[in-house]
Amino acid sequence: MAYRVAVDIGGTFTDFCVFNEKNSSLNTHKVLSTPNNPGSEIVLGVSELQEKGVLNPTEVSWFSHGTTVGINTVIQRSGAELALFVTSGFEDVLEVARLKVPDPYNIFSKRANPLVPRERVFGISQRILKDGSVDSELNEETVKKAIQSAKDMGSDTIVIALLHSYANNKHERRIREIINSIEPEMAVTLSSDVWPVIREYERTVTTTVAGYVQRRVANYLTAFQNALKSAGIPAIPMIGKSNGGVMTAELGKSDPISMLLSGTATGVIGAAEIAKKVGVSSILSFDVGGTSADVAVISNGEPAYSSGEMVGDFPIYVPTVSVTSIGEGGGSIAWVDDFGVLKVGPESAGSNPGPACYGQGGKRPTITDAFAVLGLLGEGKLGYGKVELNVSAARDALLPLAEALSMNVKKTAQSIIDVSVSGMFLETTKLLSRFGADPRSFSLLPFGGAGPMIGCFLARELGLREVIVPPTPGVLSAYGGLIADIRNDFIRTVMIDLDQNGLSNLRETAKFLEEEATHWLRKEQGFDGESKLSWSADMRYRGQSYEIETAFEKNDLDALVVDGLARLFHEAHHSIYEHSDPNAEVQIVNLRLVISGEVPKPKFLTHPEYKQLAKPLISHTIYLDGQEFNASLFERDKLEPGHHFTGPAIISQNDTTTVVLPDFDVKVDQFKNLIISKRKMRNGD
Amino acid sequence: MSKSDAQILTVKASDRIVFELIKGGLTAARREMEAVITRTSMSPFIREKKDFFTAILNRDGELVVSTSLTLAGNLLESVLKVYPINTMIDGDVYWYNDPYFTNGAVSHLPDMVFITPVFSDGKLVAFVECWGHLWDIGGAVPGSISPTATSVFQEGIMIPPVRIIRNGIRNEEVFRIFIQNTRFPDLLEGDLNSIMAACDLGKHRVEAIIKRHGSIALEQAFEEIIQQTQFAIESEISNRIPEGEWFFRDRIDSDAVTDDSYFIDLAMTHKNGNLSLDFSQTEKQATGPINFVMHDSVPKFMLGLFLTQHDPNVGMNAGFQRAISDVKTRPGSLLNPISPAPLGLRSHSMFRVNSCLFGALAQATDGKSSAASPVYVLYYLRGKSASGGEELCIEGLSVGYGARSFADGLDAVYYVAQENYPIEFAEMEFGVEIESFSFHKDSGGPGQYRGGCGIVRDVRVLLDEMTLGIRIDNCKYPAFGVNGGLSGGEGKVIINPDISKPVELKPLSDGNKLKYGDLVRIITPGGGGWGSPYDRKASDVLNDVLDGKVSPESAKKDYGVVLTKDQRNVNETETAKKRKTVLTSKKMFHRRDFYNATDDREDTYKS
Repeated sequence: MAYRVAVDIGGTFTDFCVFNEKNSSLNTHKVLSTPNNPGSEIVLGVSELQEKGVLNPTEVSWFSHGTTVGINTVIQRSGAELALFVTSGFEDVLEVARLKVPDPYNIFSKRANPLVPRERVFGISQRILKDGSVDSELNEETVKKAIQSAKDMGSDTIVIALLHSYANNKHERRIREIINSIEPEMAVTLSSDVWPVIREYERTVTTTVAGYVQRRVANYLTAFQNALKSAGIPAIPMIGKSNGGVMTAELGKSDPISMLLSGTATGVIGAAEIAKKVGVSSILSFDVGGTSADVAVISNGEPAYSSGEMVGDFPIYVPTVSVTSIGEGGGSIAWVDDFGVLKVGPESAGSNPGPACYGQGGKRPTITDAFAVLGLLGEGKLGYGKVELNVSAARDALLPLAEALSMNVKKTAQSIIDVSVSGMFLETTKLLSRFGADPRSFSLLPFGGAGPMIGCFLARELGLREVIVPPTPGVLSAYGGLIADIRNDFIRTVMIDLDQNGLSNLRETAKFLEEEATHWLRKEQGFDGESKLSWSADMRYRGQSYEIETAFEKNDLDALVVDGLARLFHEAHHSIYEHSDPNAEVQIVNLRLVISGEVPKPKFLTHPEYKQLAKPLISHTIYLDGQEFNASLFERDKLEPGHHFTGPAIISQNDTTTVVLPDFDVKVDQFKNLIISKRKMRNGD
Repeated sequence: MSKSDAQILTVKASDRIVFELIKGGLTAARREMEAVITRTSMSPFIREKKDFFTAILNRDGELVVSTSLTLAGNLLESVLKVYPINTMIDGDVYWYNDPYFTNGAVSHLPDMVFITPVFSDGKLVAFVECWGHLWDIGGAVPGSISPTATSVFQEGIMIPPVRIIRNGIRNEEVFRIFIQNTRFPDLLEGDLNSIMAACDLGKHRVEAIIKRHGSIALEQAFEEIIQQTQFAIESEISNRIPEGEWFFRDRIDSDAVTDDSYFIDLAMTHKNGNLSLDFSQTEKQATGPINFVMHDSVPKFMLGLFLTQHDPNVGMNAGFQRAISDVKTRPGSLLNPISPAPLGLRSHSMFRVNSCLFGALAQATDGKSSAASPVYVLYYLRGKSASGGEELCIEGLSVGYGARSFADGLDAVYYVAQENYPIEFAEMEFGVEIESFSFHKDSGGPGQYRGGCGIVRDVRVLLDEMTLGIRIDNCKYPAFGVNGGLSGGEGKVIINPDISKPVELKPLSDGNKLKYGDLVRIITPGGGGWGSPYDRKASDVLNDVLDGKVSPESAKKDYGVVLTKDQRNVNETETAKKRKTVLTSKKMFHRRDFYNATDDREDTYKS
């Protein structure tokens, strides 16, 4: 076997990354997506790659794929006809939504209509208590009646989310049995399968989303499997997950909730892999496309995770690579509001017509046009040679703005960049403060079509010292799918006090989780390589209403050391809160286990570094912060490991343009990443 | 061209960009402060209910950027009474919670204010400020606030302005005295540390802005941010409120200690371009804790936020204060009480101040204001756990909000959309079992736009003995409807509703004894409706019925919408017939019956 392939299917384009294990070469490819005929873009791309002579389908050992089908099902509201069974008395759980309103300070904000209309929510007579004991038995008559009504109303899927089912799933399972026996065609989704964790609203809404997308995702994955078959690819079809890992497409059919955000997650995984290779511990990944910028935090090679990420209008609570989306991208349009204030976005020229400077009919000024006007895109061709840069069209597009602002066009362009970077700064600092992280300790890793263009500006604004531009920034999301591990999250609510007694309970749960995880990896995934278990616990001081996920080693449990676990929590608490209380009682709410099967990573050739000054193609005039500079213009293809040069500089390549500001220097490392560092000032700044 | 455009265009465009950058930086800094508090505070009041406030002030203490909560007066003034500016140095933090000493800068004791000065080259240029509602600060009962308080001294420890940190070093003596006065020292210390950490972060962020753009540009930006808001509200006032004088009066059921009801009275005058708000005919201060030391800024902020709510670019700041000339209250009245009147439930008065403003605006603008919202509902359950420790369950419960002139009122909201406890957590932590949590059907005031629904929560007591404190207002005087809309449904508390002799509790009371197995049903009130319910789209009424928010009976009686037998469709012909017959009232307001503001203003205040 010789080839590893990863595909990222976006709204407009489908990106391919092909790694040839024989010669360690990486090839990339793009075709148009075919959302109405899923799978056919894969067949097409594979055959084009075959024609180019860089892929032999019968020799593919790995084929992974990131998709947005699940999230689109929710956004377009095109999922299942749901009914919801809840503990009687709590039929309004989805709409009361713990009294949350999406944006409480916005007068027009209101709760989204739930995915299940209220009339299809059925109260089931039964009750389980907090310790899992049964307070009142399941009334099977109410269940049967509810099934009949649900069916009469046209439901094809029933979601079951009963109170305290994380502690005892007996009633949920019994209801499924009843449904299966009466209505075998009806799909059933249980909250105790999807997310067996305390907090009823969160569990219910997550399960509802899971039930909503299940059929469509399953159909889609079948099409994906068939596409590989018809392309003659023998590899097991793998699918990207929101947690940055992958699983078999077959499993995705019954576990759709864990793959809803796979597209954004794999890009971050790609960035994390680059960071690991370069040896940088703290990274901000910065994926800028035409309409938005996605920012994520990576520490010690691991992306930050969160729960409660929004999928359309709904939060889902499964572990997800934490990505913050900012409504500004390369195609965002600049405009002047009624008060004469310059604004950028959220409206975007997208990829069609695109920025005015692409000469494809765009007339309105975009961020990219501002870069073009200042000379920051260089000259000549862009985007696989398909676009001829048209600076005068960009200038024409900016002219009306310049008049409205009584500024010249260059000053207007600079202002557009300043305002858009300021918006990105605002959102990025907000994200970092959620993690309690100081931006200055981070390196920025820009990718996507417009990331490397804006990256240096954002780095300057945030006070970052370093920007790392990977070799193929335009297809990093697909690349992430090449190197992602097989990975799954397991979680149980334990709700114990951290003492000897609690710890022995915890050990039992741990044993159970470990068996479950190992079964998943070895049996369900059929994986026989190296695996890794990562343990953590959601811990808190008694009385706190929120937990901190605290990582620990299995030894801490086996050795039954209460103090050891508590100390880890106090430290975690201190690092976030800058205070901790070693005397306070500690509780453990949930126990978590992540299992990952390590997929062999492509081994790239490293290149010997010859320290030598790179020779620019030409010198080119640019305008920055009101001054004129001579910038060196480079072609990315011609830059070799060890090359170095000083900013200001512009580096062109097929999928993007990198802008280096005057105070930064560039070095090409052994993997051909551009390492752009803030020049050290003599005064030690 | 409006005044605001003219003003803004005189500023050079290049300076405008710097201004936008500074404004963005300040907004980011304030949000970061907020993030620190959300991330690091320990007690549920702050963490889940988000009962806290962050702001950046100019060097005169005027708000520049802040949380949009209308509970923030002049936060600095009282500090300056004790510590003049020239005694402040970098690294100081000031602290207080005393509403009386600070003229209502905060309005009840659990809100603890921290303020840090920010310097540039030795010159004081700004302040950053945070306050948060603490879980327990001593006083007569766990949680400090009780409906039965008759003196502010029963409501916890009072901190006059003190310098808790001098030059970076905390005054441990003061801190220890304070911590000694709470039943939950861990929580308290955690929360105080969290708030002070947020001040420290805010200070560093403002310093970074100064380093980048200079203190002169910062101070210019401060002024301009305030002026933007000021001009926006001035133009709203001149465009939307004609010259004239309007009166409105709204009522509070009781003060918890006595059964007396109270009224708040407003005379709003718009004359020669000046808008003034006169509350001096409001009733005398109350025996129970509904007194509200109302800072001038509060009604100004309320009015300002209402008039600019469509424009997310207008921030809440001192611009609102500058734009409204005058606020009057009478010493010894509910809104200007004399110490030691108790203050713990001041929101009962605060919400009525807001509804008086809506009432006056409705008359001034042909009904283009919102209907009234009930004040939020809380209950306190106190008991002894099996181990003998104090158990305290304080839960905020939502109400339905008043309908707007363009949309329904929100269903089930607690103040600024603070979250409630998950039921599964409440059962874990407090000796209770929650048996149901659902919308309070038919509680939203019928209207073209419906008032929001309250909720019903059934709580089973599982400790041997518990006492219940409950805070529901708007039962005697439900939230009024506007412009043809009807008033919202009232609230209620019933013990053991399913037995033959259920007991109805006073909705605003404390010390109610409960025993093991008792079921407490808490029913919260809904918001008033806006516009005639007969003008509501029949399909929307049907949806409300299907959603369980409106009964088929109410659909027919209040909305004139007749449903088909299966109650899943509108019976169009019957509905058309029914809707022809109704006469709408010309009177502007509705509370159980239509009325005009003048009908409700016969009696004068008792003094």
